[in-house]
Amino acid sequence: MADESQTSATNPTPAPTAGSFGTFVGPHLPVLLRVAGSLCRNTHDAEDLVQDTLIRAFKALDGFDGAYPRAWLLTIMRNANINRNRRQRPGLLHDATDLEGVADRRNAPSPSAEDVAATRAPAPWIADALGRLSPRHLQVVQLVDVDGLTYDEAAAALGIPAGTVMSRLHRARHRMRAHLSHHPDFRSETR
Amino acid sequence: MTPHAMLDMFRRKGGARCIEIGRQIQTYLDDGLDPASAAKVASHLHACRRCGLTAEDYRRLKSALAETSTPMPAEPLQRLQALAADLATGDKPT
Ligand SMILES: [Zn+2]
Repeated sequence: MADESQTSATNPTPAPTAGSFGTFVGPHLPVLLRVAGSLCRNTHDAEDLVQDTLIRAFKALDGFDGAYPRAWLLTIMRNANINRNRRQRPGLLHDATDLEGVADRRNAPSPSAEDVAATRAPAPWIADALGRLSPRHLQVVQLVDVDGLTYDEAAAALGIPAGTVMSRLHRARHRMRAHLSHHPDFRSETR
Repeated sequence: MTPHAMLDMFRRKGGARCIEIGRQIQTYLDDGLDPASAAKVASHLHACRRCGLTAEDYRRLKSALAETSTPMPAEPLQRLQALAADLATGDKPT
């Protein structure tokens, strides 16, 4: 009895079964693809990475207790990404490969006309402020403030402690705000 | 610097309370504070114009960043959903 209540307290979602894998991962696919886009240089690689992730997750399903499914999937994606980078570029250090995707996002190929039509262009001042961040800072801003991950989920995706995510994120926002404080478009709305 | 000048600077900067609140503003906006701390920050932001404007800046920054998020294209998502379904039914050899 005590065991059961403990399990339900820490484990509100039942562990998924092989047969329910599709319905289990379905709701997480947009976030996985979004984060993969933050880790890869182009949309094709991002889709490949999510495919790898799904196959690995399916194989690992037996060992998963059902708690924090998004963080679990993001941890698998991080490992899959390290593996891919190692395969494609032997000799590079993990930490360096981790940063590549986001660092290159600024130089990513132009989106298709359809993508552009579906997206409102961001304010030039925000693009300018993002462009000034270091790769490490850009990465956490992308994952938390743009992609909508929690600190814990971003920590899982990057393989770093949640406290590090928070301190990097806060420093990055602090720098963006300092830069934007001189920008008329950022300030004119309130002052 | 004379003690008077230091005190003056301290006042202009908003004082120890503002410094303490300033360290918590981002965590507060990220819903990362416990309820008691969050209530303290909220009441300070309401009463102190300087800290209130700082919080406004971070709110505006966060919402502008969220708006840069692009919608995920439907086709890759459909392919990935199909892969997940194939894995579930055993149609896809792993
Ligand atoms: Zn204050």
